[in-house]
Amino acid sequence: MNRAPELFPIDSITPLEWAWVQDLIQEVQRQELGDAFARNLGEWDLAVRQFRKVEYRRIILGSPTEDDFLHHAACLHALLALGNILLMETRKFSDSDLTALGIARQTVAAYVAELEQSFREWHHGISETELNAVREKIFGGTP
Amino acid sequence: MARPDYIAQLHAAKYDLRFCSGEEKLGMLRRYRAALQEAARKAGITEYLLEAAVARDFGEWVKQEKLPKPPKSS
Repeated sequence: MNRAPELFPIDSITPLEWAWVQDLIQEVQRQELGDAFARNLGEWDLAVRQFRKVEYRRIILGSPTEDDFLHHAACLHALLALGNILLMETRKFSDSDLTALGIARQTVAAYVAELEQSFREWHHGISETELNAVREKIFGGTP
Repeated sequence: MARPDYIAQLHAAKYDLRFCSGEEKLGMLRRYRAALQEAARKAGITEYLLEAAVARDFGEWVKQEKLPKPPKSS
């Protein structure tokens, strides 16, 4: 019986070909990493948007209870933790990789900074007495 | 209770920051920080103290201005 001709005769597989295969595998891994990162960022962004809706209704326009503030702080802590992890993750990618994923590092940083701003304004540990003194100075009365 | 213009401008910058998305976010954050810096300078207090002191007034300002609800996509 005749042997079928080898498609890739062993003799002809050079280190260059191994390198090519390895590059291909790394490219697939890089794409998978990028896709996973974009998916995580998208889910985080969705969570931030939902948080903002509830915050707007309960904290900004509503009459927030102590419980509302506890939930607000817990959500902000969680979103900030995830946001900072995602921001660090962006360092694993080049600018061009991020652009290909439709992501800008500075935009992620801005979202995180906005959450920090929310935390500062509602969970600061400044006494009501001190705040009322400032309000008196600004508004000429306490709201 | 009189709300100084610089506080109204700070609230406006915060409203725009809250309800923008994507690439606009960075520009709006810069605008908010500039408004905060200016307001703190005019009030003669720290930015940290000012943010905390006027947080509640933001909701009042939104109601008084009759601003639209945030878009569903935001």
